[in-house]
Amino acid sequence: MRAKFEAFIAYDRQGKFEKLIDMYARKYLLEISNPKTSACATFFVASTTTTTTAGAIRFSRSASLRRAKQFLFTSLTDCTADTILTGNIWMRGREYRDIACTPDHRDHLVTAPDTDGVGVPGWVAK
Amino acid sequence: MTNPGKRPTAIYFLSAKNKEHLRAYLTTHGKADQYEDFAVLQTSDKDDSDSFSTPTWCTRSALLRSSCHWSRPVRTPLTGSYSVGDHQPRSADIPDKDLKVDLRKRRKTAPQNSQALYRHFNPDGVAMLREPSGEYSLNILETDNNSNNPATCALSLKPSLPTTDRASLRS
Repeated sequence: MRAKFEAFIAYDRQGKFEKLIDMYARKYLLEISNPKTSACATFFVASTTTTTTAGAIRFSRSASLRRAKQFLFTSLTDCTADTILTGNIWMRGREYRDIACTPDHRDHLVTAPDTDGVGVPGWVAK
Repeated sequence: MTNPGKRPTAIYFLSAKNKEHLRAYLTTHGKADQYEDFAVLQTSDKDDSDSFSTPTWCTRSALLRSSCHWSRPVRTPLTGSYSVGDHQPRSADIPDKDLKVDLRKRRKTAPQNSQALYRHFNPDGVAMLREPSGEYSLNILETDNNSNNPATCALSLKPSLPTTDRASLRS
């Protein structure tokens, strides 16, 4: 899983998301004038488990990478047509602090900023 | 076996023969009651070209299940509207997917040295959403294969149509 996180961070840092957005704009004829400023990129992980232990492990692996808003987590069982775009089911740093595994991890979640220079879709920020 | 991302990949098949061996093993070791935990698992055979491995079934069914919710039109002031989605993007469509990354070795005692490694960017699903402001956001969906549960995978593959509706479709 960490290798996947690293790939997404590298793709973002190297400015590759712009090309990806541009590719989809052309593929689906979307009116996106400037992929760099008008579109955001966020990475979600869906899981089939609802146990807090599994959730904490997944989050702790991404917490050290300091991408609290780039990686959001939820359980597949929480995903419905009514909830998936509400932002209520997606967990990031602040929501996970109560189930953090270690004191160091908990401190990091409380003090680390939620945003790390990554644009977040408006529905997540609500 | 390796994939294009050079990550080690294991693909597991559970054939009907494997299941029988498992049942026999548990029975001979006085654990026959534990077989019911495995009885629900779907069987698959690697020699059957029409068959998929159990992890593949789990991943695809989880992705399909979540994508169905993304695909439904959602038009509210808060969430914007669903626009387009690519639920299983073709790897060939992803630009610059092979990345060279400088990563530090995680050592507590020795000095940390950077090491150039290759990472592969290949998301499970992509959705472009139109925000209330009119702008588009790129939303990427990735399923966590480490948390897949083959037992619940079988449940998620059940047809969503009620039995009566399926009967009417066949007739």
